[in-house]
Amino acid sequence: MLNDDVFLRNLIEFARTLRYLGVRTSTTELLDAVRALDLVGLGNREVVKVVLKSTLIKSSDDAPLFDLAFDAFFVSPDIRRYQAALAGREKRLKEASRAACHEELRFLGKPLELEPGHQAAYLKMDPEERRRIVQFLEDVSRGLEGSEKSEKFRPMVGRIVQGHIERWLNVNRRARGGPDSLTGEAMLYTVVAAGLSAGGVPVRVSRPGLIERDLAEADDSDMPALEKATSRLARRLSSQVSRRMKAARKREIIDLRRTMRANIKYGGVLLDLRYMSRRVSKPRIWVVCDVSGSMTKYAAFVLKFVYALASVTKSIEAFAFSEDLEYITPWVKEWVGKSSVKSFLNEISGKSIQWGRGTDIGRSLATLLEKHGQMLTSKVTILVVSDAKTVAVDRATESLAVLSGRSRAVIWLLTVPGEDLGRIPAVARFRPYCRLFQCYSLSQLEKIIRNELFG
Amino acid sequence: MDETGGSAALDPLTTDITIPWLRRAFEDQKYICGDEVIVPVYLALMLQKPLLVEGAPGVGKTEIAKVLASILETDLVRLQCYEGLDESKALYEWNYQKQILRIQMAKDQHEAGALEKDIFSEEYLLGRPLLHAIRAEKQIVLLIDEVDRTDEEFEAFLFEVLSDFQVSIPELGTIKARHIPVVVLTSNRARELSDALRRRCIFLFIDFPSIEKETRIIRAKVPGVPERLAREVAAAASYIRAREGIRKLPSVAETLDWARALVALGMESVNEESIRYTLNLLLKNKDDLEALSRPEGVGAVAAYVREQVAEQC
Repeated sequence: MLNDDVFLRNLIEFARTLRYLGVRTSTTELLDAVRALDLVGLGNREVVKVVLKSTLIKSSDDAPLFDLAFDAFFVSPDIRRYQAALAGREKRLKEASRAACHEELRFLGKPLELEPGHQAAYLKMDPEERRRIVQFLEDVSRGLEGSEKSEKFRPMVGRIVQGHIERWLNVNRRARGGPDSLTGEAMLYTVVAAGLSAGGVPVRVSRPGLIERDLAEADDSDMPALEKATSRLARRLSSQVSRRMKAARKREIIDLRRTMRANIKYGGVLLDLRYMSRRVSKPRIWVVCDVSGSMTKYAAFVLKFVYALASVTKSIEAFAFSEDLEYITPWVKEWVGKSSVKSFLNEISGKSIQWGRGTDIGRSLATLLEKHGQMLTSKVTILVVSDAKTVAVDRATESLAVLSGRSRAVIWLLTVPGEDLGRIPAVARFRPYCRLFQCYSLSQLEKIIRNELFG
Repeated sequence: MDETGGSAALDPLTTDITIPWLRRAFEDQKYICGDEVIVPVYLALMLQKPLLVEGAPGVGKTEIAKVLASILETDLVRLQCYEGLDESKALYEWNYQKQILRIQMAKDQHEAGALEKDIFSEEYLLGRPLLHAIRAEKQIVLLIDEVDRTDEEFEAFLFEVLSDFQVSIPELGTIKARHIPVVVLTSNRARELSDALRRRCIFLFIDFPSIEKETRIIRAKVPGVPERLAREVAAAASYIRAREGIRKLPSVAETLDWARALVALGMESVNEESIRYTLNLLLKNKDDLEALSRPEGVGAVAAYVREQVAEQC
């Protein structure tokens, strides 16, 4: 066994770092790594890297993350200090952005909270654009001043401002990125350094691998790779499901061993046939997507993924909503498979009258029931893609209850990080009527679809 | 094999193996690779764990098992996996036709118990690859090819077999392997394998080779290919793989076929003309062929190849 206690401690810490980053590595793999290093020794860094890679990780998806983590972890103290300083600088930049936004963006005298990405984007906008937003907030605040229910408009006002920033971002794409947005390698170094500087206290951090990334943070340069990953995941799931369905058709195939046993008493004449298991039916899916502001990106990827599973589903219908709902199946069928997510984001702003508006889930689901209820049966599974931030939560809950009763199941894909769930009033109200899942990355989407639709 | 993967003693086949020895042996077998392949293979042999090799089709996953069988001078037993593969096709099956005939012949003899014992004996057992591997008289290399094409049920069964290398046949009892085989599993990632199976294995991911490495592979595997042509072929393949929108990336096997074709046709370089005539050897998807067959597609490939070769010179 390795006698170097220091290295053993580092190895254990490295394995913990991989776990912080979302790589599933267990004690068994760690033992394998120790035995393997005992065989090859520690003399050659590259060989040690290959040994750890082949024992600690078990999927090629984890390979790029492993490479970055290894290079970040097994470095000299000088480089480690630099990385910690980088992480500190990024944190200070984010805090400065937040402070600046709080200063300018105020509704009814209090700061308007925006997501960090939108805060950073706001600060990059032209002074004229910023002035317009500030003016809008001042006008709305003045109009609602003195009204008892004025605070209830805060979420809607926030979404309008975010929607405006999103539209500006779409037009001025080069404004994205830069030191404020941590993606890819920069983020990983920050994450790993943060993990190390946390003094070994387990802190779950988001894994920045492609399919683990928040889709809302994807910029134009990420899109082709994300679309490829979407197709790959869908293809894989589709072939697995298809295989299972075919295997289930073994119901028509005789189980010879059991049949032989059963027919010995008939002198080998096959009177009593025994069969294998039963068949699985294909699901019908309705995808109901929130297309207000930043939700559009999630909608695009979910639609792309679900439609890529067309061969293992009975039927798929698509709907878009924000203040109200519209049926978009014909257009989506034309778009999917032929065009990119980027074109979806461009086209939907023109084709859908719902795009970019505020969110009224209650009215939208009521319209779904009223206009399309005759198509809704107990065989339909409804996938709702939304952050559940809506006005009129009571009405939304009522509509959802009816929908839940008339369909096979309602699966709600919540496009918000876990920490924010408690701040959304609708989540607790919706829970009795649907299965709620946090879903902001491709990896989460694949897992949920696999388990809930085909499990 | 116990829980930690160890066994009572290393098999004589793997006792004297070192990493430098493996490197030389792989090179002698014309399998061009670096330590990123040699080290996991070495670990799989020494720790007596299965080697799980993942990668796109045609990068050389199956070849590793063949090379291992050659360098270890032993037999290769291959289980080709496919959709619907089950225990009866992988491990063993009873010879049902023979059993029915036997039952018919013994129709008038009233010894049902003895008859049942008779028709479920060794004589009526059809051994399949896994059973051959378990019963082998010496340590062999067992290749379980494209394990991702099977279903989860079969995978669970495989996991059991690979854990203990013994199989229970209800009628015959438990059969234990005399020699734990060297096991190589390959996967094209058509589906995710279970964690339980992955954890049992040493993991090796083989990516598409760099231009440099692919040039060496072509020179090793295609007799008579000039170095410049080998480099141009490797550069063209690398460009096409990196190009957006290609649905089926050309494999190393297809690159080798292309190189062989160019040599056979007497073409000395990869240019617009030679690409146009032979692109179907590299691309096997209609949409990909159409996309790249256009003048701007062929032109772009040729330009990249010229640039790469010029850089090298």
